[in-house]
Amino acid sequence: MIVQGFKSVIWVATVGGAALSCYMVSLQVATERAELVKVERQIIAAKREIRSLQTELGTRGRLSQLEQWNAEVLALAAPSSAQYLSDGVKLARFERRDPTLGERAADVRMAAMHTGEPAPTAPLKPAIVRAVAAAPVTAAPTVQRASFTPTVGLRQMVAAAKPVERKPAAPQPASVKAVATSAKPVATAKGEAAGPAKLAAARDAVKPAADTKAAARPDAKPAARSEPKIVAKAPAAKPRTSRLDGKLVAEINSAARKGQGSGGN
Amino acid sequence: MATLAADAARFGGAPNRPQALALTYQRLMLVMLVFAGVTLMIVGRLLFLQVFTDRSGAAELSNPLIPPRADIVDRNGVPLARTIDAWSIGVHPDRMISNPSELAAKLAELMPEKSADQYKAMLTSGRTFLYLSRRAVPELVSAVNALGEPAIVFDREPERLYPQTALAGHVLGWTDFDGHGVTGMEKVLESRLSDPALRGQPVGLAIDSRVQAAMEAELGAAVAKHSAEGGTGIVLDVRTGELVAMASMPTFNPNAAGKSDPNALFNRATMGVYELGSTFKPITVAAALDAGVIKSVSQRYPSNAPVQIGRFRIKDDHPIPGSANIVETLVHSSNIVTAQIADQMGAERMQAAFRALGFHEPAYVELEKARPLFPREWSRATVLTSGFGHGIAVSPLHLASAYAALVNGGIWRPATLLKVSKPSAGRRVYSEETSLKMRKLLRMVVVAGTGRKGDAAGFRVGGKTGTAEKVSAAGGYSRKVNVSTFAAAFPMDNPRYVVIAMLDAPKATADTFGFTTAAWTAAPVVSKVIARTGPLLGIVPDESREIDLSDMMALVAKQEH
Repeated sequence: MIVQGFKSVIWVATVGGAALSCYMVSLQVATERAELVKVERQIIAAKREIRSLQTELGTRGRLSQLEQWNAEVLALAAPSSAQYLSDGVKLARFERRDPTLGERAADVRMAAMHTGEPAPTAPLKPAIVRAVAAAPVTAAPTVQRASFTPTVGLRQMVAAAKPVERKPAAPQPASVKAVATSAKPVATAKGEAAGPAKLAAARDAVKPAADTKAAARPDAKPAARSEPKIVAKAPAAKPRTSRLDGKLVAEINSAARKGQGSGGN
Repeated sequence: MATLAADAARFGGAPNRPQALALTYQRLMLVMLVFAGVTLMIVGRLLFLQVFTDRSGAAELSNPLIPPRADIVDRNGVPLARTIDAWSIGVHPDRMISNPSELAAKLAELMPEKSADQYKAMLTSGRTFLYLSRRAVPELVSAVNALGEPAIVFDREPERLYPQTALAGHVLGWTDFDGHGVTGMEKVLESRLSDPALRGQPVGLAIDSRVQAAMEAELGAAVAKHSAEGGTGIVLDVRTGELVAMASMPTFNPNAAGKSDPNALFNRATMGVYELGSTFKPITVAAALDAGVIKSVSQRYPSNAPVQIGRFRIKDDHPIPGSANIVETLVHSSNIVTAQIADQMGAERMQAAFRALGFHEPAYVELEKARPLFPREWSRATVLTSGFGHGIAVSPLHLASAYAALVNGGIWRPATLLKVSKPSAGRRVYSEETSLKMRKLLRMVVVAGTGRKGDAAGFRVGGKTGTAEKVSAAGGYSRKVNVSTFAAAFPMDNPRYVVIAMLDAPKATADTFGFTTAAWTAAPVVSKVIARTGPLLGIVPDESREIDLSDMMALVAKQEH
C-alpha cells in the first residue's frame, strides 16, 4: 500500500537518477575524451620531437661530415677486392696460427693417459663443423687454465673432468649453452679442486657454440649476396678470448660483423 | 501532490472525484513524459557525441603531422630534403616602445646582415609588420628576445632543410621563402610535393646518397687536384635508366642557395654541353658494327697517314704504324681509323646513329637541360669529325645513356631521377651481338689501352677515355685546355652501372707528368668511385672472374711489341 502511495515519488527519483547517471556518464566520457586528446597531443608532440631529432642527427652526421672526419681522423679505406671472400674455403686460408704451448703439452698428456680412462675421441668436436678458426681454440684454454690454477693438484683430474663435461655437449651442439649452465651448479656443489677445472670446461663448451654461430653465419650466406659482409678481417681480428664468457664473445663477434658490414664505405 | 490526490481518493466525499483523479493522472503522465523526454535527449546527445565527435577530433589532431611539403628521400629512404619549423623574427614598428636608434644598434650587433642605419630605417618606417630575420637559429631568437622589446615578435614557420647540405644539390634544387620549388627536383615535383593528399608520403629519388657522396668526394678531390674549372660525375643503372648519382662541381649548398656562386648553381651534367672527344669512338664503332660496315673486329684500316678533308687534317698523336684493326683502333684511340669508319658509314647513317641515342634533342631527364649542339649541315668533314666526338656537343648525361645502351644489350632508355619499380621498355638501338662485342672492346681498352687507370681490381671495368680540345674564347681549339672524360661501365661480364667522370679544363700536376688527358685525370676518379661504391651497389669484387677476351687479346698482341 505504502509502496503504491510512493510509486510516483519512486518514478520521479528513478527518472531523476537515470538522468543524473546519464549526465555522469556524459561527464565521464568528456573527461576520458579530454584525457585521450591530451595523450594524442603528447604523441604528436613526441613524433614531432622525434622527427626534429632525427633531422638534427641526420644533419650532424651527414655524409660529407663523415667523409671529412674520415679524412682527418679515422683514415678508413674501402675494403680491397682481396678482402671479399666468396666462400668458407677462402676464409680458411687466413687461418695461420701456430699451436700454442698448451696444445703441444696436451698431446703429450693424452699419450700418457692410457690408464683405463676412455680417451676423448671423434665426438669431441662436432660443434665445430664449419668454424675453422674456432676449432683449435676449444682445447687450448682448458688445459692452460687448469694447469695454471693453483687449486688443481693433479693433471689427471683435469683430464678426467674434460671428457665428462664434453660428452653431453657433443651430440647436440645447438643446446650447448643449456648444457653448460646446468653443468655449473654441479661444479660449484662439488666445490673443491675440480671446481675451477669444471667451470673452465663448461665455459669452453659454451664458446665453441658461440664461435660456431659467429663463423657459420657468414658461411651460410650465398656468395652473390648484395652486401658482402665476409671481410677477411673478421677471423683475423678475433683473438683467443678465454677470459670472456660465451655470450659476450658472441656479442662482440656479432658487433664486429655488423660494424664491418655497414662500415664498408 | 500525488499523495494528496491519493488521500483524497481514499477518504472520499467529493462528487467530482473521478474527474479530479483523471486530471491528476493526466498531469502526472505529462510530468513523466517531460522527464522521459529530457532523459532521451541526454541519451541521444551522448550517442551523437559518441558517434560523431570522436572521429572528427582524431582527424583534426593527425593533421599537424603531415608536413606542409613532402620530404624528398633517396632510394634507401635517407632524407635529402625535409620541412622543419624554423623561427622567424618580425617587428611591428608601429607598436615600438623603446628608442629606435638604441634598438637598431643592438639589432645590428646581433644580426650583422644589415647595418644599424638600415635597422633604424625599418623600425621608424611606421609599417605594421616587417621581417627582421627569417630562418633564424634558436640562439639568435633568444638573444633578440632578451632585448625585451614587445613589438618584436617570434613565430614558427616551415622551412625547407637539406640535411645533407651540398649533397646532390644540383639534383634537389631549392625552394623560395614561400616554399615553392625554384629549380631542380623541388620544381619538377612541385605539385606532388605540395599535394595535401600525398605530402604525408616522402618522394623517393633514384639517387643513392652513399654513392652520390663517394662520387662528390672523389670528383671534388680531382677537381681540386687538377684545378679544373668544373667536373661532372654520373652513375647510371643500365637496366632501368635510374641515376644513382649525379654530381656537378663546383657544388653549392641548397640551404643557402642565394648566397652561393652563380657558377656553382650550373649543373654541368645536364645543362653543360661539351664535345666529348674519343668517348664517341665506341658509339661510332657500334653503329658501324650494327650497320655491317665493320664485318669483323679484325677488319683493318690504314692508320699511319693523316686523313685530309678540306682544311682539316685528322691525325693522331701517336699514329699506329701500318694498319690497325678495330680492337687496336679503340685500344690506342685512333682518330684516323675512326674517321675512315665514319666516312664509310656516311652522313645518313651517322646521323641516324646519333639520333637513335637522342643526341639531337635535350637529354631525357626531369631536370632543366640544355639543347645539344647537333650539326645542321652534315658535310663530309662533319661526318668524319663527329666519329671521334668533335663538331657535336652533348651533355655528359647523353653520353651516360648512350653507354648504357652500348653495354646493356642495345636498349636505350631515358634517364630518370625518380626511383622506378618497373623499367621503361626503351627502344632498341644496337643488336645484342653488337652490345656483346662492345663490352669486350671496352674492357680491352681498360685492360690493354688508354683506360688502364680506370680499372678497379675485381670489378671488371670497361670504358673509354676521351680528351677533347676545348674551344678557346678566341675561337679555335686549344691543345692545352681539354675536356677530359672517362666513360665506363662495370662489371663487364654482366653490366649493371655506367660511371662517367668528366673534368672541365684540368691542369697537369707533377704526378700526371704534365698530362691533362682523361687517362690521368678522369679515369682515376672512376676507378676510385667504383672501388668504393661497387659493393654498396651489390657488386661483389671478384678477381677470379673476367669476361673472355682471348680473341681480342690476340688481335692486339702483335701490335704491342
